[in-house]
Amino acid sequence: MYGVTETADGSPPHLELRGVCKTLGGRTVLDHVDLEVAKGDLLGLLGPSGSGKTTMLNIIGGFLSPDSGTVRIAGQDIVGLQPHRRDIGITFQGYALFPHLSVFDNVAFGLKQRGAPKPDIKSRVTEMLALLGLSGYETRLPRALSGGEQQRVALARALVVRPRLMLLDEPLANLDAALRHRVRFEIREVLRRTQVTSIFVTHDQDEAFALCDRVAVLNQGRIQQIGTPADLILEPANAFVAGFIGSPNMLTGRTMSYDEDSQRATVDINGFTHAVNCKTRVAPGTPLTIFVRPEEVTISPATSGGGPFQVKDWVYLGSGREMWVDGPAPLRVRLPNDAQGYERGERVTLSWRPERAHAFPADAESRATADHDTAQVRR
Amino acid sequence: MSGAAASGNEAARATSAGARPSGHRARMTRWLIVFGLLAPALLLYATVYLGGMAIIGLASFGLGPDAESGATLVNYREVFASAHIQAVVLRTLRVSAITVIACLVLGFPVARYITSPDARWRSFVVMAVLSPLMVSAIGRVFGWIALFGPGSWVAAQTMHFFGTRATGLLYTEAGVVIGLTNILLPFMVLSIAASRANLDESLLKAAASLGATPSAVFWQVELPLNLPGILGGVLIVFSLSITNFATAALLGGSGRDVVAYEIYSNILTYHQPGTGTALAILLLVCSVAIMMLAIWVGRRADAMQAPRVET
Repeated sequence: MYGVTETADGSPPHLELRGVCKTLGGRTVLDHVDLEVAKGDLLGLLGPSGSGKTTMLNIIGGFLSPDSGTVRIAGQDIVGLQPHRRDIGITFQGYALFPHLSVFDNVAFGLKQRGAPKPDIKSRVTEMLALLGLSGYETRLPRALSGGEQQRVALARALVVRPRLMLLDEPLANLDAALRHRVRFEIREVLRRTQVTSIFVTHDQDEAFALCDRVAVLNQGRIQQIGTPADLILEPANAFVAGFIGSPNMLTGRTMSYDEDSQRATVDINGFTHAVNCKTRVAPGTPLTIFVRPEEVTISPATSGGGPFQVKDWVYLGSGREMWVDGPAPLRVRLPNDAQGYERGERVTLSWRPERAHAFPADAESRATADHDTAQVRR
Repeated sequence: MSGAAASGNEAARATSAGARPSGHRARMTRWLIVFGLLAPALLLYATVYLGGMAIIGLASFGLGPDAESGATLVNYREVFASAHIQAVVLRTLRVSAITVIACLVLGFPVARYITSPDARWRSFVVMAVLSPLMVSAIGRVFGWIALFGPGSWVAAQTMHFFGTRATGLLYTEAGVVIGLTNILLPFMVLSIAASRANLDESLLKAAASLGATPSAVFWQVELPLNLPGILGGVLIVFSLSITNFATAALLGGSGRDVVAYEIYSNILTYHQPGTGTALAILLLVCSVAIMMLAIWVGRRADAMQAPRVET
């Protein structure tokens, strides 16, 4: 069956990285990366720029060798194997179509390298072009194609040789917003039909969630968490993942009390107290960093005497209205378009379901990471 | 109803006609400014270069201030009939062709190095390749004479190696080729490097990921994409070496002269301007034709290498 992780039944993972490290120009780009991808799976590799995604791709593709660690495909260690012997299909961000070759010759390139007989090449290329809706484009040169068409030729060229693994490097980055949604769907369909094991590299979480069964979040050369989109949103493993996924509010507070059974902490955020979810046991007084996404915050009119928060401004964002609220801490709150309106300057109270606000101890190191990473997210 | 339509059309025509002259005037003004800025350079070329060439051209047809007869093709007929000139032309073509091949073989790796992303000595290598252009031709040639001439270390080694009574490389065709390669190499390197500058590194990775061996990547992707730069370099080096004078004159010596030297000696030494001028005009026509071919190749290359990535 496609898309279901089969490692559970004991079969070895199709792609396996173990303890992969890489230092480039004195900077640790990959730091003991472990990764497993089951046969037929589509894994998203998500991370901000500079997180090590491209280096990982280059190591799997064979263009860089790791300083230490192993890379296995179907049990075979491929470290030291030259790129052309790896049988890994790659689509590049700029598509990298050969400008001097026609669409047909671009797609036929890999089959020719393998010495496939001419009639075979013709039938397989024709079949692959048909699958991607490119029939009739055979004699065109890449420069006469639109961005979306070039992307499909690049996919066809990589898939036609039936590689053991597909690496897709930011395949949607060079397309405009309208086309991106359609091509995203096309890529998912083609990868499903060809049942090829794939890694989809992106910095865009919406793309990763829309395309992939599982997503690995990478930051500063380390895998932060691997899981389904729901896992990453509902159960972030650390402050980075919580801060990176879904552009949440980041608040700082102090632990008032902690309940070990429910893993809940009550926090004091500059005088505003609320319950939050906290996996680590924290003593009262421990500083916490709290992440809560704008759509998880509920807003209600202040009871008599005035609430602690005040509406500063709001904007329509298409899918809803975003309110900017100030008070003990500045917060963004997402409301449905038809929700009750609030005036600017109106006093309000805020609340959220405790399990949807994720708190992590703000020790010096993790605070520094969180600040750095949210700065990157905002950029 | 038809009347209303007609008057509507007329109105449209009137506005478009009214708009045209002002756009036309603006374009005229722009042209005048551009032409005004170009005029000094054009004037210099028109008088010094075209004027000089016109006199040579007229003289080659027996015309001009001190012409003795009417227009004639006798000079051209003589050029094509003379066995001596044929030998000179053949020698020029042979020397130029060997120079082109030498520049290509030596220049391609250099161009490849200076355009590779991790070239640590790039600026040093670029300076070294360009340095022959910064020395005066005469100074350079006297250096070569000291190096290649009889009694020099190179001559002694050559003699020792071949066991012949060779007098060194001076006054040999090989010497001329070495000298020409030295000064023309930068043109080959820069031409190839320019075409490599917009070579997308990911094309080579893509080819390898599709199973192409390093040599298949080179012959099927890298070289075809460099071909415009290579052709441009070949044409430039060829046209510069068929017109070269100083190197060939000073290193080639008597009995081994090339077309440019033949022109010089016909006009200035033997006082036979007729043959010399006809030869000069033929050489000009050839090198202009080659240069135009080089420009055309360059244009085609630009058109091919610019990929359209937007939607």
